[in-house]
Amino acid sequence: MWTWLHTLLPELALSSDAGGLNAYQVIENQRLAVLRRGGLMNLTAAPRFAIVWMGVCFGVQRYAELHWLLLPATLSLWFALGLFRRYRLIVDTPTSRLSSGAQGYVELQGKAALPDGESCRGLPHLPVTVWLPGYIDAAPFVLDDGKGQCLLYPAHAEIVTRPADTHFSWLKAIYPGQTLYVLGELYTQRGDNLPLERRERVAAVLAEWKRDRHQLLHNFDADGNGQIDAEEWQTVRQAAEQWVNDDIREQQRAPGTHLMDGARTGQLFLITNILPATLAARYRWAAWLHLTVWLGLLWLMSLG
Amino acid sequence: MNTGLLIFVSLLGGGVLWGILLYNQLVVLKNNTEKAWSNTDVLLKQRNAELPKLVAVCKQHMQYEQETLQKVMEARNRVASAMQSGNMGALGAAENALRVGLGNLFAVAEAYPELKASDSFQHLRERITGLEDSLADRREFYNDSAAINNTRIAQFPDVILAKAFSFKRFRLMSFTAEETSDVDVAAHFTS
Repeated sequence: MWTWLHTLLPELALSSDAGGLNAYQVIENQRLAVLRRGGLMNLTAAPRFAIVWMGVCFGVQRYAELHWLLLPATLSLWFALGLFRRYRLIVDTPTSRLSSGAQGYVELQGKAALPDGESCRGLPHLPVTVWLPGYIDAAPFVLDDGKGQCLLYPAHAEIVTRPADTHFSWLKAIYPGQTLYVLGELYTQRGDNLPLERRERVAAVLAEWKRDRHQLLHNFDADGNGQIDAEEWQTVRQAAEQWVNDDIREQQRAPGTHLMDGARTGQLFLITNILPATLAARYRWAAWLHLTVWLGLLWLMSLG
Repeated sequence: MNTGLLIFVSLLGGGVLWGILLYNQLVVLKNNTEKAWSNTDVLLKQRNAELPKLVAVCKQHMQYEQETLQKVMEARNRVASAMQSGNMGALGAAENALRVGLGNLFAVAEAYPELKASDSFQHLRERITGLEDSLADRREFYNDSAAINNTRIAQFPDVILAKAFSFKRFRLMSFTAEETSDVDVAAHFTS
């Protein structure tokens, strides 16, 4: 295994003891990535799992008492329900465009990108990745739909990946520029969403100005008597109100930041670089298969 | 335990669980559509709140265009009352009238250089145009959500649950032929 890997990937062979990249750990993280980040349901949708599962059912039927078949049958029913739910979520969730950013449980489609100011992410000797299991599991990355951007926090997400288009096809990761499909709760953070009311903001600005008495006198002490009298205080208030109004106007003009973190609701938060039609078809196919296995096992029990 | 009984319990349990899953999905679709409507509603309210400010700014410079301003305000009031009553048909028509009114207003404003140069006017025009673009997106999003809900509650076997638990169709926000046709900018300038 290691010889084969070293032949295939000289980068790993060079770096396993050079510090920076532990090849064994990379392989280990990759091995468990499907189950750990994709979840059990995505594992049950894999064709290889179907073959293994058939083998398990056959083994139970062959070597155990017949009523033990109820166990794999019930598990198959559970898999079918979970997969069917995922299939319907993909098919039935409307697409939100990030130019307007409709809030709520939505689907997004766009390209993966690194956040602004970050040009490189990932492990040395491997291609740049926005998400790599075991290493860059929770760091946010960007989905860009061409008209807007959304920051994705993948810590609570179910992440399903396909083999990469590079020669690192074994590496389960998300690369910049890959087309992403995301299902989750979208919300937008804006300056004008902040909890302070206009009145409170004016009071805060006045308190701030009052702290620098010298500057306050310099700006508003019109008669130069070293004090802010009632009339001058009225001018200070008006200036503070004007400042807050301008600030709010600026915030309204500035585009908000769209976010998805999966932490707000218990609904599925899915990130994948597989096309939604392909993934939906996979879930539907696997749901029907497990439903058939459930009914088939019950039928076998009835024969016994 | 009797195998026949186990099979019966498994089939019954499977059927019940499937029913619960379908019911929950219909609830999610209903909530999604309501949320999509509230997404649109928020922007309609924001846009309606900006219109009186725009008209007030325009009034200072456009003494001879009272009719144009009046039409915008009338259409705005019709939108507000259609929103309150939840009448989608009336809302579509009022939105259409408002869009035409705003188009005329912005075209006529070209003849008033002082108005065009005003910071307030520039800001309000940018804001309202931005809100209009977002509204178009969100209306499409609402229509998608409503169409998905309407299709699901008409399909078998969901239709059985939809009828039993009174899940209702949502009315789409319709576009008039005038709205979907190309905008005739020249007509706005000559009117």
